[in-house]
Amino acid sequence: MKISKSELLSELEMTSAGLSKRELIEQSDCFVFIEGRLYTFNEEVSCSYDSILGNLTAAVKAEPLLSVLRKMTEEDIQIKITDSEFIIRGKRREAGIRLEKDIVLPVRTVETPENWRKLSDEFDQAVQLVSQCTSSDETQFRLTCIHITPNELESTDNYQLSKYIIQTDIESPALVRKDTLKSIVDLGMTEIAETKDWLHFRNPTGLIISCRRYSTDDNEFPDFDDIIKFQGQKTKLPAGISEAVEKAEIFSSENLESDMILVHLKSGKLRIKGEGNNGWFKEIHDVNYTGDDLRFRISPKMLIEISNQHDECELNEKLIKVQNDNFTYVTSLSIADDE
Amino acid sequence: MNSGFFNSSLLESKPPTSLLPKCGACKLNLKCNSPKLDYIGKGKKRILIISESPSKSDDENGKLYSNPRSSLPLETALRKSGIVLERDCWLTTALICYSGKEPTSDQINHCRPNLIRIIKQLNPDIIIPAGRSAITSLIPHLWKEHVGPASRWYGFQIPSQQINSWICPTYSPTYVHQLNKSNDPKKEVLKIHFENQIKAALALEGKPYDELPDYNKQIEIIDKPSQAARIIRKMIQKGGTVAFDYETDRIKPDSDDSKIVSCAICWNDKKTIAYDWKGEAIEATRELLHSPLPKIACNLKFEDRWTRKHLGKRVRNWYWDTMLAAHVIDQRPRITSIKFQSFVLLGASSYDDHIKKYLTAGNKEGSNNIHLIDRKELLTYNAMDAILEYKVAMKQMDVLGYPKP
Repeated sequence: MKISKSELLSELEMTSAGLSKRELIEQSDCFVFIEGRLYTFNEEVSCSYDSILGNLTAAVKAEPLLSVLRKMTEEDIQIKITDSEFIIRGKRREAGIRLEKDIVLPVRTVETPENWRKLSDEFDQAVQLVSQCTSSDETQFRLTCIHITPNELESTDNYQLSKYIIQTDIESPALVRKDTLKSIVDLGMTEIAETKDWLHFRNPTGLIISCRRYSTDDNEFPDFDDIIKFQGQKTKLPAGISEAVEKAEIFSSENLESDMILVHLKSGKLRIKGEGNNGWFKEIHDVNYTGDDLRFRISPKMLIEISNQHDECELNEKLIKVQNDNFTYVTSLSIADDE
Repeated sequence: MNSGFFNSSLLESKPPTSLLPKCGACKLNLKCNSPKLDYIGKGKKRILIISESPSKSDDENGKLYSNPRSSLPLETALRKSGIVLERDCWLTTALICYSGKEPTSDQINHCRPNLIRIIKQLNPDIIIPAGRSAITSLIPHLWKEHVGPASRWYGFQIPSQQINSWICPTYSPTYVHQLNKSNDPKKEVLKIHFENQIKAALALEGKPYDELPDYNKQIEIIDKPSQAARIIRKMIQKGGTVAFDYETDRIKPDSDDSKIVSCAICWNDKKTIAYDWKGEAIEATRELLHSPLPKIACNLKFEDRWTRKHLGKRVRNWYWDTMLAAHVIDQRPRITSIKFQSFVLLGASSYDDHIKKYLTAGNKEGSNNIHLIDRKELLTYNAMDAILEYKVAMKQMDVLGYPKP
């Protein structure tokens, strides 16, 4: 079968969010083709897409298949399927990757959605923003998730919190792991559907990404409406702050577990500092602040986003808040007590 | 660093247990002749027996229990109670693939979802996990992840509330059989223990509960010290028996800094309250503890010592200590805590996982991090201790034939 390499590679890459790095569940590190549809599944994310390869049923290890395709320079390639191999032919090269005809990947455990609804155009942006405030501490499972309700997305790591007001139209609130939900970003999802254990997203090409949802009955998400309500001193954010943050992020991003920069606010001055294993960067801006010295840590991406969209923040002795019509971000000020 | 928007204890939560077996990580299915052997038996008496793993002959024949021999210990023990394995029971294994060796913890964890699926599907009245692997596979699903030595589980008949089935752990029949063939002097004793444990399990009838208890609905968190005092004085006036429990900022009260943070009282199994150790509630507690009402606690020397230090007098009329009674009933180590006793006697699920780490000593002075626990979480935990102490004490009195107060 002669096909376009980039088309095959594109469908494999689109569905790679459902792959597992290590094969925990059988064939979870494979691309699984079932009667013309391509599946990946890793218990948290399941992807499916109508495959260019037609009516094929087989499981192929993902890593060698992707690597071989990425290294082939030809646009047109030949695919041949034997009982035991997935053979890729270019002009003067050929690769055979072992395949399994028996499908054991439990993709059937993913419920099939029926009622698709329109997904808000802002959903990607909302996910990107609120995912900055989740925790990576697995002992606080619910904080590693984004809380999705019928009309908002929210998250907190207990030191910062964010809420994005957006119509999701889901019927019951759900917790979805941050990394799971982030897998739908930038894939042009336009529709959403829900089933008991999954939230499903679909784009116009027919790609479906299903994200495992957890019930809030067992894991009640903390209510932070009272924290958000506070009123404090309004302060103008200086222009050009995002360029400074980008530079600070060069070093802060070396901290894989927690990419945070330090912000020091004192009368008339705002200092941004990013620090990593290989060095540090700091920059000072003038600001119309007249209160006590304050320090806090914040994700650089969040600060860039905030400073691009807002020119004002509100603060008291404990908290700083940035708010617009549909997005609120609050961070605790006393978290950073050292340089 | 500050302590965050919310108390850490309020945020503690475990990710839900995976219900898909991790065969991809285990890979035993690729190394045996007959992978993923299904359970066998008709289960007419709704008994599920969990053995360790398929035998070599099971693997060769593609079926569990492929070589039944009436002389084997399990069959003998069942027959003595009129039970025929394949007719009256279901039989499955902690690992569903042949391993040839004693199963490892990882293999058991990878395969646990298969066992949970079978239990959900069959909904047995009685489950007999036979041997270490079977116990290690089943118990974390019902109680705590850390199971401890298998020896502390043998012989209990646990009325698990989570699945509403009796859990009756016993020895591995293979171990009993091997010991039987040896000259080990323990073999006769072990055989008797094994047969008695099987007999006791088979004597149980139906589900443990017609209606599952909800202890959370039976407890009351009292916000005002004056209200707590009123309730406590009413308890004294009406008479009866109380189980009480303190939550403190350290184990020993001798330091002048030591603090009782909260107290919980279960009265006659009818009312259970938990309250902050403040104001009028302290005086009312003093009156209760010096009243003639019989008192129950778990490890009463703890409550007695703290009472002497903080209320100036000993507790009057101690009636029962669930820890001492547990020792009297069964001399095995690591079985006397109220958490363990409430699981094996009442089938109560674990309720302290999110709080335990804050109650262990956190510094050189021996004080813990109780101040980091959310107040409502602490009082709920405190109340659960009190209500379970009362219920466990009553069960223990039944076991020992001791008169109830």
